Amino acid sequence: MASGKRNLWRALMAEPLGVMGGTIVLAFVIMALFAPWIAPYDPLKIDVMHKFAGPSLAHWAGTDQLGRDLLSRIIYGARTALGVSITATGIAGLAGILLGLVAGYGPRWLDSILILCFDAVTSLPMIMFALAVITVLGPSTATLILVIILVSIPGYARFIRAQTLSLTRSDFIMAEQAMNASHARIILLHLLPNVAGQLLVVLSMDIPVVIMLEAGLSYLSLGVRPPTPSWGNILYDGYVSLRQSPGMVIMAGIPLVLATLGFTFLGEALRDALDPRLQMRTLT
Amino acid sequence: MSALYDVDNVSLDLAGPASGLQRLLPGTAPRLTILSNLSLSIAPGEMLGLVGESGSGKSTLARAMMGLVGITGGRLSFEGRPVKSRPDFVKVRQGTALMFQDAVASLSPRRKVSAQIVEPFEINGVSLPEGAKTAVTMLERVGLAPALAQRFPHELSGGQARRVSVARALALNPRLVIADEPTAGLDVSVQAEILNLMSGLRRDLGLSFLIITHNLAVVRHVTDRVAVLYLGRMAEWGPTRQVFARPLHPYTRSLIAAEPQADPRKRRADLALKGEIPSVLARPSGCEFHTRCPLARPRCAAEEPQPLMITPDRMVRCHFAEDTRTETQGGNHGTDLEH
Amino acid sequence: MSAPLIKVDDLSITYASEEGPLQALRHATLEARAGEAIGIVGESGCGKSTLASAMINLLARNARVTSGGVVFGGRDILSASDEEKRRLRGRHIAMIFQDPMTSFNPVLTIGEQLVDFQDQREGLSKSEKRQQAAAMLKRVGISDPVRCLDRFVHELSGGMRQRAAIAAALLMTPDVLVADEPTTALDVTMEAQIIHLLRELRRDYNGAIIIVTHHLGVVGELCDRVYVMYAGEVVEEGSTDDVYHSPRHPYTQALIACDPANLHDQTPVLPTIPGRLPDLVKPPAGCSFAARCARATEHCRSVAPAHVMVGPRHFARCHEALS
Repeated sequence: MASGKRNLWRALMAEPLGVMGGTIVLAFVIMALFAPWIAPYDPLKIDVMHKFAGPSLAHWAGTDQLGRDLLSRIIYGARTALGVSITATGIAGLAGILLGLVAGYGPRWLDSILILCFDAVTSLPMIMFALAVITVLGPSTATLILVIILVSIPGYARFIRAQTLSLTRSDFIMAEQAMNASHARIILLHLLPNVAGQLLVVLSMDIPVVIMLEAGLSYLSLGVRPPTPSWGNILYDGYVSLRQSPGMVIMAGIPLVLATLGFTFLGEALRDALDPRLQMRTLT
Repeated sequence: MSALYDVDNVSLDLAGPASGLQRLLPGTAPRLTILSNLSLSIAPGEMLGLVGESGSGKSTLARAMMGLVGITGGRLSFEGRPVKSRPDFVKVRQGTALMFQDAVASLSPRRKVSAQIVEPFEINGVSLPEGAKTAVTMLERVGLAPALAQRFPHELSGGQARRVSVARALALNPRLVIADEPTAGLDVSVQAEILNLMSGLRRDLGLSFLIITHNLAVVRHVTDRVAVLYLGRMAEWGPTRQVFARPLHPYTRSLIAAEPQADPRKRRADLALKGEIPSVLARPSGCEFHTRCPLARPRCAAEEPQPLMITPDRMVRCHFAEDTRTETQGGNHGTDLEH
Repeated sequence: MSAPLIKVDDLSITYASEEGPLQALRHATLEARAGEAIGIVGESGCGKSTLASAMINLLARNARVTSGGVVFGGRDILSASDEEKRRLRGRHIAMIFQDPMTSFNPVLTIGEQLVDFQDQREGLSKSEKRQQAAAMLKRVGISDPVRCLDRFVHELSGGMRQRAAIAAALLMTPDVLVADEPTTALDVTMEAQIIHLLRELRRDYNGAIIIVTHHLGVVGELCDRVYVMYAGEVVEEGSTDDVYHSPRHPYTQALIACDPANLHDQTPVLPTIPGRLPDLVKPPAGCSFAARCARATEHCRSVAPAHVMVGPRHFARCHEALS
């Protein structure tokens, strides 16, 4: 029969993909947190004498057009990438949960208004919207985070709203109402725990998308301002100097690909671990 | 005898499927009658059965009594006081517990039994009568092991989940328990255990029960009175023993005849009730049962039958109830349909 | 007497579980002849679903056959190749499930699926198959079969779905029809109609019908022979009349006694079966019902009872069956 408490961590570690994704993500997190100790050089230190150096013992990943150590820039770039993506998806996720619960559980008119707002935001082409906001506020890391938050909220809120709507019609919510439970109690104790897990999956799958978005906007000089190391900036520098040093583009691409795979694997494993249908089944 | 919960002439209708233009003009959309002119009263300490097929409106009535869906006509009163507004329903819910058909689904999936079973106290601001031990005491009261307090709902068997919902229903010492299909999906021996548990509580605590079910065997053995619902209208009600011995509405007779007999010697060759309960979208005219009724005559399609009080505690809504009554008098058990 | 069409011979099945192998089915023996309707009754955990899935060869992945087999057409079907298993399921052995939703694909119409179910019939054009499907729907009591063909499963009511599922099973013209709790999800009136339908179908159906249920009434209405199961074992078998009117195993007696449908008067306390199922990871050495049996002796607790013949084709697995 069913065993005692189900252990999310154990379920996650039972999946080979989960272990792989977890390891990659953990490596990036360590890189981001301990960048000053891990990075062999100062990522901003210019050394024109050694520009466009290929990989060597001194510079494992080579140097860029200003002779800055690429490996150090990539390590510091992880800070930017994770900082931006985790902050942005975190805030957007929280706002999405709140708005989604209100829309799904609250009165019909409020739901209609919120849906209208979500539709308005989603109907704008994302790049156009981003360009508009950045033009007004000026390119900076904070603006970048703001743009990402604004464009992500409607998706999360709709996701939570759909889940909330179906849960609101379920027996256990009606049972709570029949016991006089307040709306706050129903939302916080009964709806939230049942929708939060699924959103976590969506968020972890979205982090690589945001990392790419940050890299993309930075590449277009609309995101993180140089000289701050960001994978997008490195990619841009590499692209500009493709002739002199083709290795740079590849070096900047590798962390992007790895981060995408890492978070996606983790998200998939999380989804399997959280899915009650894949939990222990009773026999006979 | 004053009623504990009185349902007086209650109707409930919902907006039907509307076409584009009707959607824009309020008040023009068709209304669907879900419950129509239902009257029912539950006396203190009484066990009342409410039977009918799925789609007859049994569960909707229960939800309306708890204020989970709004009624559109008639009056509700609990312990002699009218129930209209939200604060009235707060009082009703403190004195009435609702048990759902799917006991596992009526428990919050990510909270332990121990947390859920004491919820009625927390919600209604009552301090736990026995502090931290309350959950365990409550489980023991319904014959469950204390260890179950640490389980999650999906780790309970059907019978255990049902007991947990009984325990939770009893938390605030309600006067009335509304049990929706309390034995559905349970093994026969477990069914009997749950019914015994409920009868015992009624005997010891003087609780009233409204048992909603399509299982006539359950109604026959534990209830004092039975009400038969068809498509949102009352077909018949009366003392259980009388209704089973001499059903006056053809629908009641069909239901009784449809029960499978656990005895190969009593097999019946004929089929008591053909077809399915009509949809509320296509409510038959006149008597709503005439489309399936073995006795139907032209009058039934044209004219709605009025409630007929055969005796002060026996009601039937059928044009030919008087005929049926005279025919079945004198030792006929009334379970056959031969005329 | 004709030879059995399908025979379960000393079948034991275990499931891998965290605590060790769970002995869901222990030495079960059963046979069904052509034209016969047999019932398998028991409560949750008695192994009846395992037995049914073994007969249609749809055992769960963590199931292991530890003894015996299922003989159909002169050979053990549990050891057949996957290809043969599929063919057996499609053509010779069909199943009706408790939830008819699971028998149909939600995105295809009923008609499309009923046509597909006839793929083993060669020489029939698609429109002929469609006609066959409509005729079969009419046969199972669907009043407007042509319209029903164009519907999706979610557009049908519960009773209609179960009828369509029965039609689907019959279109394969199976030799053995296994119905797992065919009426449990239905109302009392729909249940009566499905029972009536199955009984009618029996008249011109030559195969064997096997009804698996926890509801004694369904078996009483439909079956010629009944197998009562408890804790993975067949504890009693015999004609429905014998078993219902002179049950010899204490479990059968208790089960019949506590069915509310069998009590004809109001009783303040309904009979129950005290105690609980034994742990099937470590089944008791003696009789598996001994712990809950009022008549159990020391002998019952230590020695497993054999199948005792208590009458013509009536057996009970109990030491006391003859006393």
